[in-house]
Amino acid sequence: MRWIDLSAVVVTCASGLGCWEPNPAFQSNVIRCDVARKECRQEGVGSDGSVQCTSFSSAVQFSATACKDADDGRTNDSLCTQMFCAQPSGVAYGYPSGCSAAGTDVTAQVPADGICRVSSSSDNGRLALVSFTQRWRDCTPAAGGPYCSALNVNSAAQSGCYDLSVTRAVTQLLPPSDRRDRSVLISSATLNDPECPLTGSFTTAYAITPGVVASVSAGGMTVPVSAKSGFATVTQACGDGACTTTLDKLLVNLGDAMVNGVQVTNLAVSTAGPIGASGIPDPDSGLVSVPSGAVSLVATALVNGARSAFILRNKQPWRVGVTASGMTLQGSETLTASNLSGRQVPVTVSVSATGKPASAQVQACASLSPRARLFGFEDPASWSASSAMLSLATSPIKQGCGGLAVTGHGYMLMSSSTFSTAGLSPAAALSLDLFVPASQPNPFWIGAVQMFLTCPSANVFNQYLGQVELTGKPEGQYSTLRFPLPAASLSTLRQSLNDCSFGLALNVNQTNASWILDNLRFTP
Amino acid sequence: MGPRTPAVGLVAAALAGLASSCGAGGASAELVGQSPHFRLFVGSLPAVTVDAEDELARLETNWADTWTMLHMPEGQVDYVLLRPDQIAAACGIPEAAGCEIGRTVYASAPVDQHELNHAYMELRTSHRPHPLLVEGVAEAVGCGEGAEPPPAFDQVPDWRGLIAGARAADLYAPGRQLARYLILAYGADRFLAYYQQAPRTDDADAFSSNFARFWAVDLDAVWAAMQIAQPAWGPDEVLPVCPCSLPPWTASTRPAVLPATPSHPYWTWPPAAGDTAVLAGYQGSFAIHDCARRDLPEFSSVTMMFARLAGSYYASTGSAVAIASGSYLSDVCADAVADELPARAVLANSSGSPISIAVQRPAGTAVSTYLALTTPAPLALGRYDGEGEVVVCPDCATPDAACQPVPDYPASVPVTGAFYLHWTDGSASASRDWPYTFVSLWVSAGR
Repeated sequence: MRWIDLSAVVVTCASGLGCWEPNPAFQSNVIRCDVARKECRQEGVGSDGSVQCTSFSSAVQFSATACKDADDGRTNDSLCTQMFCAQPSGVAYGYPSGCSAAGTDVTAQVPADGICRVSSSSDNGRLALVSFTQRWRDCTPAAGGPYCSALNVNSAAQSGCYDLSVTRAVTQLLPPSDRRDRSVLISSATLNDPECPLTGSFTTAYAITPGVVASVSAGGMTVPVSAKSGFATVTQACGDGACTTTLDKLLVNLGDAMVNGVQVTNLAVSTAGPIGASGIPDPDSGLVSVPSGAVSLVATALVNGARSAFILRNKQPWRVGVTASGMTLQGSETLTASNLSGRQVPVTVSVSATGKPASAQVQACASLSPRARLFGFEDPASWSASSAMLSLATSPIKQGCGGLAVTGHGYMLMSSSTFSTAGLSPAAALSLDLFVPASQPNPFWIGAVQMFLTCPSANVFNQYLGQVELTGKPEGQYSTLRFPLPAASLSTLRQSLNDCSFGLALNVNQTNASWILDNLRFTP
Repeated sequence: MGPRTPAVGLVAAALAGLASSCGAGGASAELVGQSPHFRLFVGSLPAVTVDAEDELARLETNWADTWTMLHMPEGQVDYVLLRPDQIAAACGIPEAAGCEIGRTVYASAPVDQHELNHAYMELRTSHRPHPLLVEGVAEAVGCGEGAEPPPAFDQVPDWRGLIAGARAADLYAPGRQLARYLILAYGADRFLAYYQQAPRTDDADAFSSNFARFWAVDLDAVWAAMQIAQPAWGPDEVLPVCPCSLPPWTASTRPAVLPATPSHPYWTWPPAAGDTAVLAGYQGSFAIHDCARRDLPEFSSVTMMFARLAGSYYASTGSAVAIASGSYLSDVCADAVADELPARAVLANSSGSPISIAVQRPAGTAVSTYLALTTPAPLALGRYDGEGEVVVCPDCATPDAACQPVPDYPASVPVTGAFYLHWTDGSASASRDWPYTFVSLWVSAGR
């Protein structure tokens, strides 16, 4: 091995020809084009038999993403004008005069890699998380000829995981080619996003089989622990002749238990991080070994009414198995816990959990990002309250696989875990769905819900978002509560912050039933 | 020594920049391996991580593939792989993403087709025609998108201004379009012969008269023809021509991984004998093209593709793509081999994703084909794109009229278990001159 001898290259160059052609940085800039133009909304046939636009809309405004070489001599405005004001290919007429398009370089916010050129991320990365809005016009074919009797504008906002290593996003995410006036605005993109599946691998979701999944032994007593619901996502990746199995996420909601005189309720177990397994499967069971220290589980529960959390890390190997028909997680561990009198006692936890391929609904829920799960009230562990009992509701729900059941009365303040605002598309209001239990004791005052926003890095603490009165809301069903966002809160949520959380206060009368929160989302 | 051209001066400046940065933590490179046609240098300080054996295999594959069009003589190219922020210093050009200097390619991409084409052409000939052709052939050959944003077919400036004096960067797109047109219309060998004798002149008249003499056709006529050369059903953009010389995949009804490897950056389409190729991956994990980039639009943003195609096609693959081949699409319902919709892939995005069905057909003929599917999880199907009508039938005995039509997305029809799709593309498009037809369905979680 040696360092390249630069003088030798000079000689090579001098003896060669054509040392001068640079390859300008390919599409190194992402441009947001803000366009105003009139678009055809109805076509017809002219006297000469040609297809013409018989009705243009008034000027419509939209934004779309374009790409531009660093070496492109055009201004951003002229690039956008050429892209969005020139006569579209395959259409017999152009846009009327007055079309304007202003370009703004947004490369600092939206990376060019993957958006304007195929992604250069490594083979061992994850897919890219992309948020975008497609816009187009649908053609209603005319009965009398090859033209559109109506061209109705349409749009769709989406966010998801995409492979950008084969086709760049600006090409891949355009609306289908049979649409008119199509464009895409890419608002955010994160390559190798931890919330997306590993490339070179497949992730499968499994629904945890309800029933006994563990036993807890302490003081000569063994207590079975049952799963009520839950899911696991498992990624299998193969390369270079070897395969690895990774338990990406595990979330199990467990039944209440009495252990050594201690009442344990609201028990949920989740993974603190991915659990990797490798090696040759056992020929009999098909299970693969998980090395010591690789299992890291977090259990949260109300222990004698007090919120508690335990971390379980394995000192001995565990085993995991994945087949087309199911998954298995087995292991045993002894940890030390305090009993009622405060004495340290050994507690042995033996786990034998199985799962079956999840339904499409659970698959979809399992693929939700942590933030989407938080907004969907999918995991009670994502919310905490000092004066209310929180648990998972699986019915009735409005969205996803679960809602947050709240039991208690009076002013019950709940706090969410933190979330990142990156990639959020904040709108004018926040809305959530609330199930109001039947048989309210005071029909003249049902209660109220308040919302708060906290983002410490933006110096925002318990910013009041508003209150919605519940009196008059129908009982025994869901109502949508809308919280118009104050301008300051909207501005905060539009920043890129990693430490935001919501506060939710439910102030209601005493009932024996649960209130259920579901589907927090931005709405117009 | 002859006069130093501005070009050589630029190179000297570039190398001076590289030299001066050697001891200062800037661009420097180390020879890490060589193969019959390449010496591979890798940037260091900090080091670029690369598997030299794989990288040389990639480059040799590119050599062999491109050779089938450019027929370069034996020789060796120095390939200097640098980090993107080292390229500008190495090339001596601010914001450069790569350059080729005397058969030495400075690149940050494992295979920089544009710069490699320059190096290949330098091995072929010391003759340098007008930069429109030099950049044109560098842009017109390859299986990716090229170094430039693919231009639209009908947005080409007048050739006179380009010949008389345009910036090099302004020549990429029209050069690609001209070289591509000539290669497709007359063959690569004929284009290379033209390249060999075309003058290096900025005199538009001299350039065009040479052109007319060689091709026996007026440059204005070719310039106009190349802007309408693409059929209406083909890609909207001007894309490089892929040599398509790599071996095809082999597949059976048992799905197998179809990875992009150093020796297979893409996979050509095997003789299909009526079989359907099924590609499945995450959304965007694969793209299917025709080698001339003339007939197929971008089939890329789908999670599953049922393709009964035969001809010069190839597939580019990214992550976790599986392929199977069999009688999945059949014009006789009972003969359709059942396949499973991989819910884990189509539902990787919570909103769902599209799958596509494409079949070759004689121009102007109707299509009536069946696809047998199973899904253990409830799913919902909506018609998303393409031609014709699709109905969902519980079995082959059920007549279409009793089956459920697949409505336009976002409306949908629920499916679960085993079912059949019957796709008909008849009168509405039978008159079109398409060599194939396709339909896409949006698959989302059902209840």
